[in-house]
Amino acid sequence: MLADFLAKKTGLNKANSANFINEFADIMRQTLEKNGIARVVGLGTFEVVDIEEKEQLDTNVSEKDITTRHKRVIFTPETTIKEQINKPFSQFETVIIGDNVNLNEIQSNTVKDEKEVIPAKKKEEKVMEEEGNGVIENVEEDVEVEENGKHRTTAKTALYVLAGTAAILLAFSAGVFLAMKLLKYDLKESSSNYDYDLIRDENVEKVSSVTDTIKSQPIVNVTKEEQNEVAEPVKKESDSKVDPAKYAALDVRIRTGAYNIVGTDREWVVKEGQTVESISRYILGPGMECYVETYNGLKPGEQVKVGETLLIPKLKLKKKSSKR
Amino acid sequence: MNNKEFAHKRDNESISMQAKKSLDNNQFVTLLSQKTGYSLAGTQQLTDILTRIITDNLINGNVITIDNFGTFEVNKEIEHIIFDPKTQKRMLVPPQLVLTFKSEEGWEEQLNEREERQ
Repeated sequence: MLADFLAKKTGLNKANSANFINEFADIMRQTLEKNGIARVVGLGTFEVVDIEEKEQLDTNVSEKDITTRHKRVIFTPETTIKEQINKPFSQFETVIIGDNVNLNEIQSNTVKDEKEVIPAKKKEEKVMEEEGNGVIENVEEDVEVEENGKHRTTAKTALYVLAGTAAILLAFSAGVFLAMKLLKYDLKESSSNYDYDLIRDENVEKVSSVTDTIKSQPIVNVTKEEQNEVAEPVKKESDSKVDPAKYAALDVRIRTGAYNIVGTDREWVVKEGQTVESISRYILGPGMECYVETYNGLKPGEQVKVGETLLIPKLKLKKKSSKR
Repeated sequence: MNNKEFAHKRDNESISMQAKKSLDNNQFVTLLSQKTGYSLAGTQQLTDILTRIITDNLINGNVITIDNFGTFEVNKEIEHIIFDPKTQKRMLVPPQLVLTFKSEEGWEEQLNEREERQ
């Protein structure tokens, strides 16, 4: 590996590089064996030292072990290389531990402190003053604990926000639902009136006059509201009185129907996809197309063109008029 | 190298330094130049490059093995408490990266055998 690097750097071939390294090592070894010391500039000092005979306690078997006198090769790197290698830990320094500091207590307190939330900076300063670097790990742990606390609070806030949003959405949807229900109720009510009206149209004589009056009254109101809201192209016209008998004579449906045509209610410009039936259903209610057809001189089921203007008749209950 | 070895080395340092005398850089380069056949300047340049390659690799955390000589390795020493007998105070030594050298297997035994023969 070393030979490859040297070959790359110097341009020598691999064999020459390997040879150079071998010679380098040989000289070092010979020098060490001969002189007991070898110094390489830019690397450090190698030395052969004598280790004296001594007793050692083997901690694994708790027995005393005697090491005989022997030689050993030691290496002391140059200071610059030492510093370069230890660069990641260069900011740490050896610190004197105060006499009052009980390391066992610190370890036990570390566990307790995890539960207390103390501002990280204050805690760090305090500990550094008292104990130096000895409790770096403790401080780091406390910072972590506080950070965890912060995470918890942010998580809680997020939960509250979510719950609030959900509640607002629920309230809104409930409101919409209620409104829809009320609207549906109105429509149902009105449609039932319309149905009733249809039946009544067909079987006028069977239905009593009292129920007619009560049931037919809201129909007019509802249709008028709808007309005002939706029918944009409608132009209201001033009432011009017409003879109801004239139209009754023209069509048997009007003659036998519940209403008399008393005038023009409005004009309606036909749009794409609209028919006489759909228009009359929209404005007057279901089954009322005969009035529109007769009033506009159309035959039953006759198609109307887009852009054509239809006159919507103003209707009046026959019974009411007869009562009057 | 542990602390005891370091203390032992320090005690014997004055004696050993008197007896031992290393080759200086010029002598070392001259010897290497004679053996390899390169010029003195070329050998000096190659030696510088080789030491730089070794240190760069060690800084990057690589293990360097030189055949017939030994292995260089960077180890991490964990933080520990030491007691200074002079000041009677305990000291917390921070963690540090230490360059260690382990001679080739069998070399130390050879040295011991040689001494025993003498």
